[in-house]
Amino acid sequence: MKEACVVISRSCVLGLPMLVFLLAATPGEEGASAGPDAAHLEHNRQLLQKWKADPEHYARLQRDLRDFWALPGPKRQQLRQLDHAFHQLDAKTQKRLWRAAERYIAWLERLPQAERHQIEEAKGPQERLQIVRMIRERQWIERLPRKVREDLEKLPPEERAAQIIQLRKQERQQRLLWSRPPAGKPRGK
Amino acid sequence: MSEPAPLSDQERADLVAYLDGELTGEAARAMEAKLSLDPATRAEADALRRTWELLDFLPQPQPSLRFTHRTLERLGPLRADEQQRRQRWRMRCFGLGWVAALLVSAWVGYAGYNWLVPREPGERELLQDLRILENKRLYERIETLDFWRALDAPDLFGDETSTS
Repeated sequence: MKEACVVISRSCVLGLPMLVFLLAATPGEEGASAGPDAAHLEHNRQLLQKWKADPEHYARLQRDLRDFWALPGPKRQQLRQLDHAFHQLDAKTQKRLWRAAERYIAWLERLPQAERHQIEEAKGPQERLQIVRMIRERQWIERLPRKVREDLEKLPPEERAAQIIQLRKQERQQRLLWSRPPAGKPRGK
Repeated sequence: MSEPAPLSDQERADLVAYLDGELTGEAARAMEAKLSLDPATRAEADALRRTWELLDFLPQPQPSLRFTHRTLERLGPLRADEQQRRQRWRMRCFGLGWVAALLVSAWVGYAGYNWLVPREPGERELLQDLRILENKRLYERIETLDFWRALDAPDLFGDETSTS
């Protein structure tokens, strides 16, 4: 009996590292812990069937899948987190943010290559945002009427910043007024 | 014939040392010369030799039979403690070695598999990340929700009419 126990404990002691080795070598599902649920997978399956009917779209998806898996693990995880966080927002906020993102991408693609490169190579979102703000402000000043722009350029930096804020506020109020329906007529139907 | 002068304490001590074989070199040679020339010294040396020979006839004290047993009995607990300490140390080393073996096995298994079998995404990965892939080009340029929210400012890319 004692000998049997010794044999069992010996096999456990020697076998456990082997078992751990085999488990570690078993391919796991990345992101499975926070992965999509069954309903979501089913929805994706239906969507994928639809895309398979469109060879061009399906080929692009396959290409994006390979590119996505070529990204470093932390970067993949970051994109998954962004997608998850975005889809936790209410529909109205999602829609608003989506429009802002589309405008940003379109703007980014129209930028001269040097500036686009500067944004893409920024070290983190904070620096990127700072560069975007700087370029946007410069573009906005360039679009101002010549007289206003010249007056603005004559101001010292602190006053210029305050004046820019004031001018932007005025511009927004103006746009708001224009976007309102004429007085006396109800908006929409 | 006159009585030989008795030896002084120092002379007797030197003689005893010579007889014990403790004198060497010049001192030993001096004592040998003294023994051959001085009858008093020779007589004292003979007396001392005889006395020591008599000592051999005295009964020798023998240790009791239980002496060894008692000594070993007293050493017993000390030996057991030492043995236990060694045993504990051995167990500790074994435990640490075993944990290290587990960790190394896990690492070798994981790294080895990923090195030998590079992961190729398939239909399962496509299904799992379909939404991300559809929006990948946008997500890659946004990266974080905070950045996205910041872009939504009216001065940047937000709806200009939605905020006063």
